Amino acid sequence: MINQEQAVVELRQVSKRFGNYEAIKNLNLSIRRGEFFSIVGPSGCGKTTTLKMIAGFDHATEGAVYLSGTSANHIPPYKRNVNTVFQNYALFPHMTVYDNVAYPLKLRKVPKNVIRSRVIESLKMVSMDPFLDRSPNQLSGGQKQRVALARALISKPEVLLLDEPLSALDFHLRQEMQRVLKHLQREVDITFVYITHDQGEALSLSDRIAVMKNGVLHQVGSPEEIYEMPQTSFVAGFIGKSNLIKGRMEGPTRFVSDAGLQAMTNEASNLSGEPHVYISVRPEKLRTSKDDERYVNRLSAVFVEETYYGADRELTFREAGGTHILLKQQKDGGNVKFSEGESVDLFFRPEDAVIVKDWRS
Amino acid sequence: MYGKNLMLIMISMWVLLFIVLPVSAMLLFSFWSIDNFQIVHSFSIQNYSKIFQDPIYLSLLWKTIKLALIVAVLSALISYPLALFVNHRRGTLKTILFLGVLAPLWVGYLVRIYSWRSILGESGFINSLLVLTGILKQPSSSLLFNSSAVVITMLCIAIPFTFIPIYSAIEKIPGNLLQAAADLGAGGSRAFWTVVFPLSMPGVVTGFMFAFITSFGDYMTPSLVGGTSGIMYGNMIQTQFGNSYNWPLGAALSMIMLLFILLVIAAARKIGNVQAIFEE
Amino acid sequence: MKYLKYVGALLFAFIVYTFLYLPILVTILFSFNESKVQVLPIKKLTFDWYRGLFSNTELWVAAKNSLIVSLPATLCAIVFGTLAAYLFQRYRIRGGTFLQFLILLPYILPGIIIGTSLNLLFKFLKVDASLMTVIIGHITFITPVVMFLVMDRLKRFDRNLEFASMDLGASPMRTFLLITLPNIRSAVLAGALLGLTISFDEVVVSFFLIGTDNTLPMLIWSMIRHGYSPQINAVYTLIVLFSLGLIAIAGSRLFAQRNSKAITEE
Repeated sequence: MINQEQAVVELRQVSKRFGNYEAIKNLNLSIRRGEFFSIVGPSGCGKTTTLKMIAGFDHATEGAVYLSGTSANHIPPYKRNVNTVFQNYALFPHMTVYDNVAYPLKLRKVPKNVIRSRVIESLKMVSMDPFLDRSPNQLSGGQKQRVALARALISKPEVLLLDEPLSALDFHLRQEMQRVLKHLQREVDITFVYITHDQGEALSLSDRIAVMKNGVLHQVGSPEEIYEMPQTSFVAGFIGKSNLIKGRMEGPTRFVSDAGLQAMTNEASNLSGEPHVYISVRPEKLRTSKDDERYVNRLSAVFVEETYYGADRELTFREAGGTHILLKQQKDGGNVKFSEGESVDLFFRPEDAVIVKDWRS
Repeated sequence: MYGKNLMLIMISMWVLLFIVLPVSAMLLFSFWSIDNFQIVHSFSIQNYSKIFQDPIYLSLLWKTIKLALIVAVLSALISYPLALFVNHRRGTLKTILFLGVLAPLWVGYLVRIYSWRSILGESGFINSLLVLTGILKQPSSSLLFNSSAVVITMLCIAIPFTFIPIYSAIEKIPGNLLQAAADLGAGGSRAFWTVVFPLSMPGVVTGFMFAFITSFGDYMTPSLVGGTSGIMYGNMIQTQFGNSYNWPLGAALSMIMLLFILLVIAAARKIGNVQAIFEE
Repeated sequence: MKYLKYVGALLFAFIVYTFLYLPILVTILFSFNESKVQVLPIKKLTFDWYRGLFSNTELWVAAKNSLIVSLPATLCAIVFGTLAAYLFQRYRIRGGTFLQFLILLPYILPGIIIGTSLNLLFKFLKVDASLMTVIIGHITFITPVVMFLVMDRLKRFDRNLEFASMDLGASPMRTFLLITLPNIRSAVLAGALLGLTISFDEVVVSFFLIGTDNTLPMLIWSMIRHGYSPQINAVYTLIVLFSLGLIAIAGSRLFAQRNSKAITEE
């Protein structure tokens, strides 16, 4: 019996070296059955290597990958119950759409009539059933992507790996495919492991997100946790925009910046041992006036410029330490205009000042 | 992985069977000798000392190197502009012209030598053409059975070998590089000498090497169109395996040719790209 | 000035192509010449030399022998060449470049070295010269041709297709058969056609390995040594036309694939 609580994919103390280069450093990761899990990070962060190790195309130098509780280190890719959607789709050019999708079933010697009904069912799921007899060359990028999805899902794998599947598509198609993916994942109830460098995509699609940089896992959590409670300065800066001010803790909730700013934070912190830390304040949490008495923290800055974004605007300031501070405001009639060089006091609440570890690398 | 090792073993077997063993056998034979048409199976450097002391062998080697060099130089001088010409054409015409130079590489090696013999012969195509047009009163016998007949025939064989690496080197030079050169004020011949020519040098070296090796080792051309004055090093090896029945000496002569060619390849590899011959 | 340059270039190219094809053209021309001497002007055209081919059993036996050599040699070369190409292109092998160079060697080296060294090996092993020994000689120089054509194709072949296949449940062997092979088929086929052509034409290596049975080029070599015969022209006209046909097919297959690939990649 399958234990629903058991991790469907688990990486235990996995390291991967290519020669002297350490691509993955002591990675521990546990992916739950049925969730939409994203691994996000800039290029070279090790996310693709991680994916390849789960698929079986690469092997951990140290540690082990577990699939449904059993070590998969010696299981070749073709015996793993894990399928992949490749970045460039990897549809077989010498086969029709039908033959591409039927390929995994043919390999398993499934009876012909069963293959036919399952291929059609699978293609219907991604609305590609009218294109059965097309050659992959005759399809658009989005259509290829749908066929690749149908092909990877037809043998009902435990885990579907998606390697930056939308990166080759244009903006509108990408949004459409995001909807398709999310919908599909709920429908088939298969664990999706989604690799992307696009943090926005990860936030909107995932149940949980892992953020990586240079082979190191920085944080795992729900989109809200990652966005609201980043643990490292890298996560704070990479997921959404953030104002990071360097300083040190002088008590569990008292922060003093290098430039002398004193701020109350609402976070019981275990980072007091660190020589220095950052506070992260999201641009939309800053105010140009003290809206209510909870806005106890005041940051003096000089106005630099305003950038217009349609529904909202972004104001850039420079604080005493020289750091640029971004402030995001909804556009409405009451927006104050500032002139360049003008001194402005910015306000924020203690609970909006998240202490993060200094860890840019 | 299991498959990789299996493949590696098969390929290694191939190399062993088709390269290592034959060359080893050749090396072994070259240290044997012959006495009264019987092979003496004991180690001796007699063959090598004979080759390096008897001026017949050395002068023939030297002459062969000279002829091969002449062919290689001419071949490069002709192939380079030809490659430029073909590269400037477009579409199907380009493909046809390209394959047109390549095709003789694989077709009718023997018939072309044979045909040159009759073309250059006393009662051959050129003589009859010259007599027919009144340029010559009497057919000339000086066209055939000498070194120049050998060079002409070898050139006809060598040009495709030289052409391919030069062409693929030139073809790979991106057009925008030339535009960039022109943009920076280097147009026409300047762009050619500062951009195209240096970038195509590896191709030229490889092509030159191929022409040289092909001509150096050829024995059929000299024996068909060379006459007695056109004899080359290869003919000497051939004789040892034929009428002379001196296989050990033949092995030693072959061994020297192999070492010399490996030296040439090593020198060319420093500057050229040997694999370019196959890139189309 | 520009016009003059263009005309000069055309003239130059014309002369070079004529030089390359003159021997073949002359051969074809004189294969229809009634006279036994190869002299212009041609007085009377005839098909007699071609007609004579049918009754020349020696030629037919030699042609059959050539096929007995070329077909198995090409087949072996395809297997080894494709295998080697796959190995060198897909795996990192210590000393791989050197191994590759060794396989390439028989193609670079003059035939005389391959011929004499194999000849001596067979002498050493006391193997009698026969068509079998010629087959072995031919495998050595066809293999590198196939290897490089296939390697070139594999270089441009998306490796993710192989990953995808294995990911979907196919073993490496089935992946090779179902995915890789169909996609490099044209290169393998071109290699085969080219190999056949080269093998069918080969005399330099065969010379040192042949026993009592002649291949076609070897028979012609002995005919040539005995003097001129217009029949040689007739035989070679047929061979050359056939070979050029094969090369055209091989070439168009390779180029067609290349061009269609270029279009889909855009």
